[in-house]
Amino acid sequence: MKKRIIGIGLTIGTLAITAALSMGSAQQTVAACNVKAPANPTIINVFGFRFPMMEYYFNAAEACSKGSLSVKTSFLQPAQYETQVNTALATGTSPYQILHVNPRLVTEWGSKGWLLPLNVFIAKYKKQYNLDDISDKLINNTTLNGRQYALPVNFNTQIQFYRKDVFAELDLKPAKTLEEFTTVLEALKKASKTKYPLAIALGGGALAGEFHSNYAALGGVWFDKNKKPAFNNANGVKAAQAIRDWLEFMPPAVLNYTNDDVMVGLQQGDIALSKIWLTRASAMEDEKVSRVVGKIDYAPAFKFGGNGLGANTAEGDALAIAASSKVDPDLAFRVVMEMLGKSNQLNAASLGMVSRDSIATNPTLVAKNRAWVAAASNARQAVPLRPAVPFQGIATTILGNELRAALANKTDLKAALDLAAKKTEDEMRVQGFIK
Amino acid sequence: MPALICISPKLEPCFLAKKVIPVKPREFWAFVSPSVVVMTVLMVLPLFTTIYLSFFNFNFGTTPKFIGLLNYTRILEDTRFWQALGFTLFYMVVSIPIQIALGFGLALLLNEISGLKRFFISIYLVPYIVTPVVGTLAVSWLFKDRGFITWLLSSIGINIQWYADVVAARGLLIGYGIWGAVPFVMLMLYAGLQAMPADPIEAAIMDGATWWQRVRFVMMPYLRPIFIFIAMVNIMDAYRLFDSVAVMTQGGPGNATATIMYYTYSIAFQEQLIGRASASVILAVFVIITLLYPFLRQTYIDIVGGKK
Repeated sequence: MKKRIIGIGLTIGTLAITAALSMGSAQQTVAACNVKAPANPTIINVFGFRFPMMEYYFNAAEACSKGSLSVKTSFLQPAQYETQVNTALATGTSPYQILHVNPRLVTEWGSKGWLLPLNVFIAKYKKQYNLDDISDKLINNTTLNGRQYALPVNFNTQIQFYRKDVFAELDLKPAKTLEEFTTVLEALKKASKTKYPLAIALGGGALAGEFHSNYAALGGVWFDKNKKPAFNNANGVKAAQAIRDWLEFMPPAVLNYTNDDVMVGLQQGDIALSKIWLTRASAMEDEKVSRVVGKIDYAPAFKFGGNGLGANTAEGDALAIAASSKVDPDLAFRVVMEMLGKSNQLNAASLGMVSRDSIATNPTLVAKNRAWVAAASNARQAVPLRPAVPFQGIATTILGNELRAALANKTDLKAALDLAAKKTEDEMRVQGFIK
Repeated sequence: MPALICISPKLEPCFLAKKVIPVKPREFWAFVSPSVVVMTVLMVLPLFTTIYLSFFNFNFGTTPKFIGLLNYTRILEDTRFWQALGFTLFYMVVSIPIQIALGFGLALLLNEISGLKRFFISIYLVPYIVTPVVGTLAVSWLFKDRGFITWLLSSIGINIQWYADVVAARGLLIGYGIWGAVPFVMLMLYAGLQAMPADPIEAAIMDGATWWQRVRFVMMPYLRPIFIFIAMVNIMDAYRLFDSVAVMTQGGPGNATATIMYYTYSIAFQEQLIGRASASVILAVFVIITLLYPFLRQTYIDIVGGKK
């Protein structure tokens, strides 16, 4: 009798915990998936890096699991994600069917033939899924030599996030130029209202991205007409020096900070100002994790240099299909299209600016999402993306390594850029990109 | 010295043995062939593939192109390689003596106490039981900007930037390495102490030796082969340090905490230069063989005897 009572108690306890956990992880509503399950059991693995909007889309993908079709999703941190996908795609039999990409990854993986060109499927399903509604500019970012390798899921850009209460108290306005940005930082540092005035993600590949935004705003190019590295010039030094100047206002470990670290710093009230991706805005208003609900406002990235360009890109995340996937690509494409259906994008709009023009420009939604206004301004002042050439990855990695070492060790920036340019050229020669 | 028994169809390969029991060749190969096959597939073939690839320019998704010794030249010219090797050696030199000293101290304490031995052994083994990446993640969070230890220290006025300061970042990795390795050292030496015959200790006591003299002149010489074994294992462990670097510091600040393994990983999987990473692996193998040579030689001398 006693054993039975203990058994019943344990069962009830387990059920209660399970119910509590499932309530705790309740997912946002996603639209019903209209993909018909195939005749044979099929697994589609969807793989990406995490931020709130992408989590929503991945939930939408899982809604396609029915009958013989099982859609499984997983996330990793961006750097680890790239490493894992690189290795998986190189094997020639990708275990992942649907992959989260951005313009840089489209260039890198598309040029190696690892992504499936989607033009045939786009033509086939254009009308059914109203693909004309997806922004042309975003589509261009996922196209390489006429081949479209991915479908954009959002518009993303680096805007200023700032504490409006702190700014109001100090009578500060978000910076419109680099000089104003420096003035704001000094005022924030002097007032010490937050632990640090500023944080910008500079860990991993983010440092080279930040350098690119500054450098391209000054009109800098990565390679000259002979394909030789050209970033070790006065503009390159100016772009790098700006990052060095910002370091004194940022957390000491910022050279290792990911976007998640910056987001948490903002949410916890440690940071008064940041330049971070638009997709992080919704997390500021999440009462479960944010101490700054209603306290953050948004502004376009400041202009860097005299060319009228902001220290920001205008790009977006996208979904691609692995070329070596053994799953029917038509089926994988339809799952992607269901993820990006209008109903799902309407829901996802609460988490960022989606890729369908009809939603991204909807006046009611724009009025509700303060960050979108800043993002729209960013789109007009954005610098060009890094060149879509297969050797860009070499330059990005080497520059990132050398610049990080120079910033961490406080060594000469020009020498670091010269060394990076020399190493890049040597490497490009070894790999046969130049003679 | 316990007699070694060799089971071999021939006497020649059994040069280490004191006593030889001949077996038929067919039986010998039946016993050893599974190991030979497994070792060949899992160790010899990958090693030869790595040597082969180290002479090629080979990236993910490209056809290998023979480039001779260029990968080796590039590695040896790369300051990051030397920095990584430098930190790896520094890590070994600093952490291994502390690991052994602490482990030996704990083993002696365990040997002395009569009650609660199981309890203490269980407690000491916790770092050894925790999955490395899980343990590393947990510890790394404790020391992050918003981590508990960082907060605790800052509340008493000690502000340490664990991931931004070179000394702090290196100290954190070394401290974590010591925390993780001490249980193994303790366990090995405690087992050695337990197996030690009572006679020499009793004789030393009769001769009026102090506790420290007994440790220094009786126990330590007795445990010498175990110390050598532990040093070898810990050198190899320290040399292939990767998980804590990858999870905690990613080689930073700058390149200050990159180890040889992390450097090789960066080249292979971040820069996607598989050929060059293969060259780095081969160079790393040469270094570790050089480092282990004195220990292997000493072990050989201890077993076979001969000129030291």
